[in-house]
Order: sequence, then C-alpha cells, then structure tokens
Amino acid sequence: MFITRKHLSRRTFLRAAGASIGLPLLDAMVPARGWGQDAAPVAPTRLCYVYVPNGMVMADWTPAAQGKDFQFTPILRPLEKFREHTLVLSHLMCHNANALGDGPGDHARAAASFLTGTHARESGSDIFAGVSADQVAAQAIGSQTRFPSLELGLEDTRVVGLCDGKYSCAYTSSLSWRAATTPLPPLTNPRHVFERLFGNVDTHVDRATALRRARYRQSILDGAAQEARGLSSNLGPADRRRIDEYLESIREVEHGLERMEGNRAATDPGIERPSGTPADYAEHSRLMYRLQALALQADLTRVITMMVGRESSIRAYDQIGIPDSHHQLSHHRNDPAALAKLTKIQTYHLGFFAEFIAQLQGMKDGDATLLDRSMIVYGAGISDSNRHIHENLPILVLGKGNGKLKTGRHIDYQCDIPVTNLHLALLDRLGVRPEGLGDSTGVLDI
Amino acid sequence: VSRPAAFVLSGFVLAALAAEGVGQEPVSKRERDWPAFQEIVLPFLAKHCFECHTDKKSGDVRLDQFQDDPSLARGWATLDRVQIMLRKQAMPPQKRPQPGTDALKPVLTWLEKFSERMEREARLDRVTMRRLNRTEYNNTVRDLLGVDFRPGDDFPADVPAHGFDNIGSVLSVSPVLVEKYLTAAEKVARTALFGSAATMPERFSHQPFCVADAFSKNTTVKFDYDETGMSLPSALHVTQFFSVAGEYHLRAVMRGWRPVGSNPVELAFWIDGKKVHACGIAVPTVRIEGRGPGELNGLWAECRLPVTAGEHWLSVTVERMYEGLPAAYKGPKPAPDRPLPEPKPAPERTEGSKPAPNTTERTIRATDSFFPMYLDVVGPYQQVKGPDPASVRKVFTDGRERADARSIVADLARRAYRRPLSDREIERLVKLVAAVQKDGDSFEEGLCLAIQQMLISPHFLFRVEKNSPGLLSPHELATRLSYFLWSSMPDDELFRKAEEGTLRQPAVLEAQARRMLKDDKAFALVENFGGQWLKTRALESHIPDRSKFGEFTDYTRMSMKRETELFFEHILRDDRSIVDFLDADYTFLNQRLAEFYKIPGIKGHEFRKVDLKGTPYGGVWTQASVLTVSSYANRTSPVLRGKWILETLLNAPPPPPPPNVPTLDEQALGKELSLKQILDQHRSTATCAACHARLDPLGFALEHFDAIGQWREQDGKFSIETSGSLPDGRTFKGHDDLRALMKADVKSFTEGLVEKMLIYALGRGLEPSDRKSVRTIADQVACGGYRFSSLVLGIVQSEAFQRPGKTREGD
Repeated sequence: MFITRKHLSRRTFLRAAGASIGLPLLDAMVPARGWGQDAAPVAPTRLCYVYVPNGMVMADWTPAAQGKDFQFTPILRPLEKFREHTLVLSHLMCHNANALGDGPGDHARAAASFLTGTHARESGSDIFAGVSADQVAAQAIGSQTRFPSLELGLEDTRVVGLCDGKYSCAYTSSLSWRAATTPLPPLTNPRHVFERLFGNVDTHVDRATALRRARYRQSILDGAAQEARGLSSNLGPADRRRIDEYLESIREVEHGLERMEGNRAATDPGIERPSGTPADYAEHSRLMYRLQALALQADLTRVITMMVGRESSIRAYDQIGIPDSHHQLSHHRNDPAALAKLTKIQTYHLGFFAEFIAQLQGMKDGDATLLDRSMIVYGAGISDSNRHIHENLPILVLGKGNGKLKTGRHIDYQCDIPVTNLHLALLDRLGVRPEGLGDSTGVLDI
Repeated sequence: VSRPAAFVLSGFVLAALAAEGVGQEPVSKRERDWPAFQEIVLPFLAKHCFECHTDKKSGDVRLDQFQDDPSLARGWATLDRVQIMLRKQAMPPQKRPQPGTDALKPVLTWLEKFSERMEREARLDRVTMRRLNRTEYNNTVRDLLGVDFRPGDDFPADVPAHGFDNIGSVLSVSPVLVEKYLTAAEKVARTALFGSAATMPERFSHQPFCVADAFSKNTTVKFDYDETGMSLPSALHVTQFFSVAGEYHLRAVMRGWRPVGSNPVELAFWIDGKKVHACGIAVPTVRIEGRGPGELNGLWAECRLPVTAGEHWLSVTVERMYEGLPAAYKGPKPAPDRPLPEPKPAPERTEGSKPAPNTTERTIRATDSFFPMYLDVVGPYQQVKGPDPASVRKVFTDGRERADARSIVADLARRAYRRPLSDREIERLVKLVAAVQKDGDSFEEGLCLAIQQMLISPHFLFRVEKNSPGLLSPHELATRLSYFLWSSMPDDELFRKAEEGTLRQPAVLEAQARRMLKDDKAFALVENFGGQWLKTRALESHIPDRSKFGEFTDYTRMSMKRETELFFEHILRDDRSIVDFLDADYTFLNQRLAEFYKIPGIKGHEFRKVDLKGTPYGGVWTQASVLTVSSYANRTSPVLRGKWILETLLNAPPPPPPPNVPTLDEQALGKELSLKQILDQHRSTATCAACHARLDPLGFALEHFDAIGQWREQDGKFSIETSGSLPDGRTFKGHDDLRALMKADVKSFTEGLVEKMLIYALGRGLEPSDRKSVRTIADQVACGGYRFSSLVLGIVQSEAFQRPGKTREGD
C-alpha cells in the first residue's frame, strides 16, 4: 500500500534509542576509525557498484571525444560537476550475457554476468553463476568492517514465476553472488537497511543486560551451528549444500557480532529511522543512496552493490511523464519518441546518482573526501536494449580510489574487453588480487 | 561454447551420490545406453529432426547434444519430450516428410524404456530440504507461539521457481537472512513471553494516490447509490499493518467543497469493513480562518480506537453523500432551510493580494466534490501490556506445572521441530534455561533463550526429511500435509495422528485432509497457491496507466483481488467442481465491482454471491483480476492473455520467444493499425507464426475486455474481432465459444491444475517421471466428479507426496 509516513522527530528517535546513540562521528574522532582495529595507517578505499536495468541509449551516453576534454552527453550531464572524478569507459563487454547456444534470457544473463563474468545456467530452479567481484572484495577485506558487504535494490523482488525466458528470478534480481549457487538478494526497504546498519535491538535495556544478551546470542548461534553440523552428516548433496550455506552465514553473523562487541561506541546515523519503502520513487532512491553514504562514512562496510531496478524492470515512471513499462519501452525499435523517453529515464536515474556523488564529496574522510577514497562503478550489462547488445556497455567509474585512479577522462578501448578486467583493476587497487574473475583476460589498464 | 560450470556441478553431484552409495546401479547401466542410442535413435533424429532442432531456432529443443552416456542422462527430459511428440505425431510438422510406423516403432520403444529406467533411478534422489519461506515462517510462529506480528515480512524476498515461492532448490540462505532470523527469534520469543516491547507512538500518514476524479462538477443528486460511501470514488481505503495492539488515533483530513447550507458532512471510519466511528463536520457558512463558505479543505475528523495487532483495512467514507443538501438540490432528505448570514462585502483589494472571490452564499456548487484526502494514524497509546493470553496457552500448555522447564521445553521443541526430540536434544535446551537462571535472571528469561535457540535451529527453519528410501515418517507426512494446506505447522490433532502412527491409513489421512480444508487456516491455499497459480498476486504491484484507466483505484484493486479469493475459497469450502474455474454462472461482487461489470442491483460494500447468467462473465479467466494482470499498463495484450490461458487453463505452456525477436510497433498501434492487424503482421514471420498461431487467437477472444477487465464494444476507433481457431482446427466466435471449447477439453485443464498443485505441494519442479502420478491423480479427480477435495486428496495420497521424493540435480 501507499504509506508515506511522517518521520518521528529526531529527538524522539534519540530518546527511544537511549544511551547507545552517541555524538555524530566527528572528524576530530578520526583516530578511532578502524572500529576498534589498530588505527590503520592508510585510510580505507571503498568499492561500490550501481547497476541500472534495461540498457542505455548509447547515442546519448557515449562522449564523442576521448581523453580529458570529453563532452558530457545528455545522460551524463548530471555528473558534469564531477568531471575531475569521472572516468567514462567505452567498449567493455559482458560476453557471457549472450545466448551462446542457450535460449532467450538476455536480461537475466546480463545481470548475472555483470559482476561474475560467468554464463548463468539456464534454469528456473537450479541456479548457477559465479562469485561476484564485490564478494571477492568482501571475502578479502570484509572482516575489517562490521558488514563485509551490503546489497541493496530499489525494486521489490517479490515477483511471480520465471523472470526472463527460462531463467530464475534470482538472476534478474541479484547482482551479488556469494557463491555460484548463492545469490544475495538485495534489501529494498530503507527501514530494513537502516535497522541492519544502525541496529534496532537492546535500545531499551541497561548495559549489563545488553551485554548478557549479546553473549546469549553468540551462544545460541553456536548451538545452531552444532545442530546443523549434526544434521549434515545424514543429508543428500543438495541438502548438504544448503546446510553449508546456513553454517557459513552463521559464521559471518557471529563475526559481525564480535566486531560490534569490540566497539560499543555507536554512531549517530544522522537521519531518522525510515518507516518503510516510500511510495515515491524519488524519495526511495534518495533514501537508499543516503544510507549508502552513511554506511561508507561510518565505515560500517566498504563494499556495496545496488540495483536501481531489477533487470527487465517494468517500472513506469509516471512522475516524469512516462507511464510506459520501462522494459517494453526499452525495445524502442529506434523510434525517436521512445528513445527520447528512455534517455529521460536514464538521465533521471543518473540524477539521483549524482546527488549521491555530491554527498560523498561533501563528506570529509580525514584529509580527503569520501569520494576521493571511493571507486564507484555505474553501469549496465546491456548497451542497446532493443537488440540486447552486451558489447560496448555503458560504464562509469567515479572517485579517485584513494589516489589510485586517474579520473577525469574518457577511455575508449576500441575492441571490446571483458568488464571483469575492470573489476580486477579495481580489486587490485583494494589490494585484492584473485587469479581471475569469470571470463577476465587480465587487469584492465586504466 | 561449453559451460564448464555445469559440468563441474554434475561431476560433483555424481561423485557425491557415489560416495553415499546411493547410485551404485546407474553408472554401469548408463554405459550401455550410448551404443544402442547411436544405432537406433540418432540416425532417426538426424533424418527427421536435425533440420530444425540443432540450434535455437525452434523453441528450446536441441537434439544434437548427445555424444555419450552422461549427455544422455543429462538430456533425459529432452528425450522424454521427443518421445511424447513422436507418439502424439505432433512432430515432425505436417508439412515435412513423415517417418513411417516401421521406422518409428523401434525408436519409440527404445525411448520409452530409457525414460522408464531413468525414472526409477531418479526416485533415489529427493526433494531439496525446504527452508520455510516468509509466509510459512509467519504462520508457523503464529501457530507455535501465538505471535502474530509477521516477523517474516522483514526477511529478504524468496525467489520463486516453477511459478511458486516454496521451491526447495532455490530457497537459499544468506547472512542477511540469518541476521534477520536471529533478530526475529528474539523478538518473537520476548513477545510470546513478555508481550510486545514498549513502542513509542509513531505516525503513519496515508495518502492514497488514486483518489478518483477529485473535483467533479456534478451538481445533480442521486437517489439510488451506496449510502455507506464505501464504494464511491470519495472513499479512502488503505491497509496498514499494526505490529502492536493498543489504542490508535485516527485523523482524516478533508478536501473539497460542499454547498453552503448543507447539513454537516457525515464522515465514517471503518476497520476491516466494520463501521467503528462516525462524526459530523459542519460546513462553514461564512469565511473563517481563511476558508471560504462551503470550503472543507483542511477540516478534519478524528477518533481514538483500540486496534488489534495485524494487518487491517482502514476506510474513511462520506455517508449519505446526497442527503442533507439544501432543498434547492432536490435531493433525498434535504437540509432544513436555515437562514444564512448576509454575505460580507468583499474586502478591499490590496496590492499583491488576490481579489477575494465574490461568492454569493447560495451559489450552486457540485454536490459530491469533496472527500477525505489524508488519513493519519498515530499510536500505539495505551499499549496492551503483558503477553497475549493465546501465547501463554501455547507456551505453558494447560495443566502443566509452570516451572517445569523440561516438560515445557520438550513440548515446545516437539512442535517447533515437528517431531519428537532425543533426550540429548532436550537436555541441551533445558541447560540454556538453567544457564540464564544461574546468571540471576528469571525462569521466563531462561525459557525465552531456549525458544530463541529453537527458532534459529535448522530443525525449525528447514523442513528436514530423513534421507531414507521408502516412505516418509508419520511426522514428515504430517508436516508436508500441513504446509501444503495451511502453509504452516501441524496442529495438535495432526501431531496426535502422527504419534499414534495412524496417519498413513488412507481413511485417517483423508479425514485429516478434509478436516484441514474446513479450517480457517486453509485460506493459505487460496492465497498462496491460488494467488500464484492464477498469477493474481501480481495485482498488488500492477499499475495501469492512470490517464487511460481512471476507474482503477486502490479500492478497485482490493475488490478485484477479493473477488478471485472468494471465488476460489467458495470452490474449496463448498467442495465445488474445479470446472467452475472455467465456467461458473456465479461470482462474488460488491457494489464497486458490480458497477464495474455493469451488473445492476448490487448495493453496498459487502461481497456476496452474484448470478452471472446473461452476462459475458463466467469462470476465473473473465475476472477483472486475471484480465488486468495479463494486460500491459496501457493496453490489452492478446499474446499475454493467450499465454495465460495456455499455461493456466490448457496445460500447454508455449516456449519462450526466441532471442531478439522484433517487438510490436507501438507507435502505429491504435493510430494507423489495430492491434489485430499488427499481430497479423507479426505472425506473417515464419519464426513467430508457430507459437503465435496458438497464442494470439485465444487472447483475441478476450478483446472485448479492456486492460482492466471492463467490457468494451470498440478498441479505440477499431472494431473488435474475436473469432479465431485453435491449432487443431476447432473454431470459435468469441469468449463464450472458447469457454465451451475449454470445457470440452477438461482433461487437459485437470492435468494442468494437478501439475501446478503437485509442484506447490511437493516444493519442487516435476520430472518426466512424475507424469504417471499426474495422470493417475487426474483420473481420480475425474472419478470424484472433479470436486476440489478429490484434487487435494489425489495429491495427498499420491506416491510422490508420500515418499521422500524424486528430484534430480540439474534440470
């Protein structure tokens, strides 16, 4: 239903949250950064991926000129203020999003291969892709923060049936894959994200009770893990895989709880607890970006993925005068009117992203801004949506990667290179160097 | 290009099977298949099938994938399909050279034997252990602990497969989910034992975005209308979930104008269709606080009411809309002619200000141009403290010593794990209680921790079935039964039958199933099976183009959903024939939907059974809910509707379209060409024709129903052409003929429904090996006069339902 709830006053929230809410994380508190870790000598680098569905109007996306003096095209224009922080990359591809002998399902394969570089198995129930770039990062550096990674989305994933051809909806609604058979469903409700990040338990009880309950939680997680191990010896292979997933998840949650224990100094999230998913798309979008910025700022996580819509999204953008289904519209047959509408939607999407970038630029992180510390990929696994082209994808990278990215340029690689090479290049800047990722052929030169 | 990932996985599975000693026989037998296949089948396929079935041009059937024994095992399902097509002589196509019977026979024999053996082997595998999905989690904690705040709604969405969201193989587990389980366990256990945590009052503002035509110019009155206002465009309808019981403050804010001199506007508040409060709002007669005479903008009415936890439907309506108007309107029960104050002289105009409207007080205004615009709900106040008595009864089962940890824990855990526990398991839980007490906390706190432990246990979260050949244990069978019919755990009686060991007796099982279908909890089958089978769940997120379909308000949406639910529930509760889904001369309507369907004489917002004789409607496929979800936002789609009918009613799902098909020319649509002309063009392409010849005519039969299911004579400027033919040559003139044709093919419909319900009941996709089960059940349904209960009983008594299962890794 359509609930737009007035927020509680901030004071009310603080009162309700009791003593665990402290002062805002002031820049002066920087030595405390690292969250109970030894003060790290180097400020951490953050990695984010923002994915947009249904391709891009490439004519309105790709700048004509290469190098430093490229022009901002109609879709990119909202980012013009951040020229110095923008890297436009042309001719990257998701080869494995192509059918390659399988049936229709370009949308499912595009989302599934964008961060994994793998060719998704054509199945409604036996899903199989690969580990995604963000999860490679999370598995390597995730233990340094409260949450190894965050997966977010702007579209409820409660959908009926197969989502694209014979492909499971898991492929179209998840960008992030923890293992080849374990997609990570995105959180789409801002309230859930807020509660996950800033906690919603133990705010009414005294400290001793809170500590005791935290200890109990650890103990029942142990108990559950023990039961699961006892169970797994009697199971068939598929069931055992499920129990393994469960055990791994328990381990990760235990780890997160330990981390929280080690560091009771809480942050002020700086916003009120959202009441749910706003009916208004713009408000929803802004809130989710805002929560990302806050999570990055408080160093609760360093790895985030967000899907602006599920791949092959049928959302209508009434609020900007486009009542058509996005997916239907994306098969534009090169009709100028349809293309104009698509460009409008895509520019609209980028507008919210630009606001996010502006926030990151406004957030001090030691002697630099959060934007300087970050690497934020914005893009899609489809370029021309009319024919489901997976070459020459629309890809941007924002942020300076802690001084390790040379931005302010448009690079055209001329011949298509797997987008996974870009992922490897960014992982490299995080100090993460896997042997390869999906169909990667090397580390992209950027 | 090969897919190494798939091979790695099948390798893993085979290795795992071998390691378990499950698949001793297959390996040696499979090795024998390839030579015979190569000799008997392959040449036939090469001659008759390879022309099309070697790449993706023709659907998804690829027949050049076989090179050795493993590939035969993997492609078993495909080969099984080949067998069916050959036997039905559906392939090769009529226009191609036909194989003679002599050539066909050995091929068929080989394929049949192969299928049969693969089927036997497949029995060794089983259903993937199913995690409770969100709905099942909610219902289970409700039935286990009497806690009804739907904690599962906060979990990440469950991925559907095979059309349903309870399929074991895709219900995966992630850290986010385990985090949620941990939080929910704590909240659920605390709520059950201590009542819901003190909650600060919060405000929820509802502003429905589809209030119909805001300011009408209508100055006339009606005598025959819905006096409750529930079904009028002015009504405000929203749903809100209340996680905590208590008192809530409701305030409705008005917008619009009412003729000056009218009686006070009668505003009514409703919860779940029951009137809970009524009050009047006086219509201003003079300008006051910047509000002109007759202006209602910003005026409000409020009330404070006790509300129970759970989801509620809140409505604010204007009652007796056309009564109490000034006599000049000649409406029913007019207002007494009261003297009005002299119009004040218009204030002098000052620089920059708008001229005050020089309204004379008796200006004729629209009669129904006002409505409640916002509803604010603030609460809880006077929160209900302490545990719900229902929860207390569930935790401390009657007659038990309140402090006997062992018996309380053992009983709870038996119900939570849905089986008897070993002493060691009970001991571990009891120790938790003791540990907490040792820390100086109360017995209840200790119990609370033990319950939390149960709620995050894999034995609670997963429906564990022992990996043993033979039949399910009585407890496993009871669990399957209750999650099938109730989407929840077994109740005491079902547990009792399992413990007595009598549940497997056909008479006992039948009696239990019948008893469960009568229980209120069986509505879960309507909501979860029905909503997904008919795809009407999509209605919640479907937003028709409002510029074209102003009729579609939130109330309409709710009413459509309700109609289909009531219709399904009626078939279930009254044990009607499932043929009613195809053709029924009744449905359930309220005034809103009756007006929508142009059926006269239905007053008020309550739903009731309505006779459909003489109307175009009849059967679930002509209900507005179905017609809406099988349409695009801005127009009907014969293709989507055809697909819906083929999948849902005729059990003949079309293959997905080939990659990169050209889409329709939306721009020309409705301007230069009709939808029919455009789709005719589409069908002229050979690659499209094969499927669209089946899809489109079915959809066109429904073209008189627009994209929200309302009857129309014309589609824009084009006339509507509904006649067509089925691929087998039978012709029809419109939806009435089509209905007759579908009824004649009741066998296909029944088999389709059996398949869908079996998938839902088992939580897995069907295999070729299940076909026999499906046919047997369908036959039983036919013998049982197509009664709904015969369908449910057929499934419950089938081997597939009573055995651990037979699914394979891979497709």
